[in-house]
Amino acid sequence: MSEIAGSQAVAPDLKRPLIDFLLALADDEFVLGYWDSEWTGVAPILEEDVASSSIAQDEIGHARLFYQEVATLTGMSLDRIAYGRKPEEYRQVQLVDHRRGDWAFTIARQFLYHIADQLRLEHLSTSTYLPIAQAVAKIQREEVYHQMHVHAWLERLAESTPEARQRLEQALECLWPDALGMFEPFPDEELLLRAGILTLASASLQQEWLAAIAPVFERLQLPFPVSRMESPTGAPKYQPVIAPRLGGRRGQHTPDFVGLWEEMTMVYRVEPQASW
Amino acid sequence: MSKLIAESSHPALDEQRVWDTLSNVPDPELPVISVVDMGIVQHIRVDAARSYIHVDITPTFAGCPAISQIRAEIRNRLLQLASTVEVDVTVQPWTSDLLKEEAREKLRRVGIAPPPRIGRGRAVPMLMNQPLTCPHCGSQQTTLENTFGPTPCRAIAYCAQCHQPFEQFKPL
Repeated sequence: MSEIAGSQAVAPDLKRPLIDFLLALADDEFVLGYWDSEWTGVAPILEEDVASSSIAQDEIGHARLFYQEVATLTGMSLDRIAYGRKPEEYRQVQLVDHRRGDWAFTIARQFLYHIADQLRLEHLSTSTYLPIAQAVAKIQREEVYHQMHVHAWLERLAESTPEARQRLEQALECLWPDALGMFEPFPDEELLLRAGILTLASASLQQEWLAAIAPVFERLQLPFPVSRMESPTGAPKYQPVIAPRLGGRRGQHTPDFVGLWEEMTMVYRVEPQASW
Repeated sequence: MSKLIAESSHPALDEQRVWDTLSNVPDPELPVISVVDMGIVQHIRVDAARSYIHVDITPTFAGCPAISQIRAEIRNRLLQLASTVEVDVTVQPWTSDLLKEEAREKLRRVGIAPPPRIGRGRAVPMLMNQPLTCPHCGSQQTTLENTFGPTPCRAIAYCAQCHQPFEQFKPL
């Protein structure tokens, strides 16, 4: 498959799918980063004030890398892309739509998201669209710290007091349908796969994700609504026993996100032409 | 005489002069270190005939809030050398191994432990599994308190020998 060096080399029929794909990658990080940033000043301990703020800043930085590429492709400004869209024009999965919840909810969501994100980034590091591969190389170096952080906290909560454990389990029960929704195919996924911009189908990524988190959930005895089918020929196949909640990639979002949208775009909407 | 002075104050525009000038532009979050020492300046292109300079910079972390300030500062300084200056922010991966030796020493002097060298290894074990060295007293009786700190590129550690907290530049 041939490499695509940059925006100039994108075939006309690929342009829209590529833009939507970049927006999906960016919006996931952007919205999650915004919720994480809400812990600044009110996290359970001071160290986590600092950590949550840093993580949020990183995520919004990653979103900016992808928005920058959308800006190159469309000629729109970064702020217009980040803040100038209607709620239904955002492409993040519904997992990140939820407000931050309590600390257990935040950790549960980050864990589900970060493992999927890590695997997605590994596959995108060989994307034929070189600006994506380059951005991913930078992002991966930073994400190792997020991985480490969320792994430590998941273990800590799972093996802590009964209340911590109970809150974590409740959060996971609530989040599972949305977690499975992370693997909703991207619009025009077939086209992206054929061009090698996307290198692994979302359904296959879901299998990799389930295989990666299964041992953790088993060891910590956490809710895992998935059946495992041994295969005589290859790796076991995982089959969720609950339905995924889909729609985020097509712009369907929850009231929580609309509330966040109103807040985070408020200043931009007052004066879209303002220069900062 | 006056001609000589005029000439010496306007030496020919070349790449080395640009590097020298940028060696005096501080990183806004770590003012003891220049943007060159930091490894932020990736590439310089000079066209003396057109009085033109092009600089590529890359942020340490993608979410570095200082990058637009750094970009403006570089541009302002270089406009003293050339009439047209372009500064592009690229997405080249930055690694803490790009920190120059002088920069590591300067960090130590202001109480920030320089990052362990990663080479081809992985960043996290460098921070977690090796003793960190206290920049104040040199002891390795230290503990990592938080992998996140006051800026994205710094972690927080504590020295049991001199009882001082210190900042640890993260390996990246």
